[in-house]
Amino acid sequence: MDVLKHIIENSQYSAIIAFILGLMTAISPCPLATNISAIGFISREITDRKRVFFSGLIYTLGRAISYTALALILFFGASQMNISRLFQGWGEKVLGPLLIIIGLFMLDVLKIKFPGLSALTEKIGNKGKGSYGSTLLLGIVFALAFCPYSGVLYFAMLIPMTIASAGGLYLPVIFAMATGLPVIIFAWLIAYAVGSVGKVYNHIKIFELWFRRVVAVLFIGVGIYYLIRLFI
Amino acid sequence: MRQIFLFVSVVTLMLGTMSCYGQTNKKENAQAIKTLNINVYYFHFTHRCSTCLAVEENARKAVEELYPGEVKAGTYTFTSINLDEAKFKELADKLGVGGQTLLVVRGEKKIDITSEGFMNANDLDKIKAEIKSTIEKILL
Repeated sequence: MDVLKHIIENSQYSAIIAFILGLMTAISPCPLATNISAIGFISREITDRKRVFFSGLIYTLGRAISYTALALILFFGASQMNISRLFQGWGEKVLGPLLIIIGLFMLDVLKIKFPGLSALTEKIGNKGKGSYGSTLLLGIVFALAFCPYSGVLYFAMLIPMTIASAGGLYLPVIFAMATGLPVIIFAWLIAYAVGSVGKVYNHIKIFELWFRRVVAVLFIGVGIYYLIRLFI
Repeated sequence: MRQIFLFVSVVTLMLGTMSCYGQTNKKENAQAIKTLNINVYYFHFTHRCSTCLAVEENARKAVEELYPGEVKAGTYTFTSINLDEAKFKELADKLGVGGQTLLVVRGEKKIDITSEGFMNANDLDKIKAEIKSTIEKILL
């Protein structure tokens, strides 16, 4: 972390600063938990390495959509105070229950349709070989769950650089790429390593089923972790 | 006799007016001094990360160690404010604060040093230097 801070202090290029801020976000304790969930989620179709890699890119695209959309809203004059208070104050509180619900959908425990919520949770919790839509949605949702530290990195450091002029509006995309980078790398590495094991044992389908269940439990575990953090 | 009574009345009235003027003046002076105080605010939410806690601890230390006399006299203050508490909403709105923020305020002037505070959260010397230079700037 100190190395990253040193680069920020000595860099004159806003693109490099945005990238480092993204890396700092990705590895800070709280977003790391969402990233671990995301790694599990996009590695669930573990035998198809290419798909896992593309999922990592799509997840990052989802994050980029959220970060850029928020930056655009602020650029066009929305009150930074209100937007920041809304996301920094509520993002983390909503994330825990949401992760648990998605996990329960993936485990098939929850089959009830919640009005409004069902579209989101069903799409993400879809067990079949779904489209990339669920991964994109996951990126969008996870990016909006600002934690205390990532909230500062985004709202207090990236946003002032971004909305200073129209020329800075590409910075959230670079920031998002950096926040998603560990997910892309780890998901691909896991798929590469575990995928080979799956092929050797020739029980790919059973393996995938169990891996998906592990991912679901991971979602629930991370969700509980967030809830505990809020109440302790 | 009538003239003496008139004279005493006028003198009493003048004295009363003067003392009233004196009180108003004192109040205005006190108000002016109060508004020119240096207030370092750290806004946060109930749940905080370790870096956020370090920012508060070191920023508080910096103010207390740099300006012990002023802190004792109450002219320089450090205040930690929880944005989740409704009673602070008015102050947060007034200062335009929406999230975690480290702010130096003097009257109508304010300087946001959140970025610098978080970058140097665990380095007391750097936070001290940042707060010192910001206060010097805001005093100009």
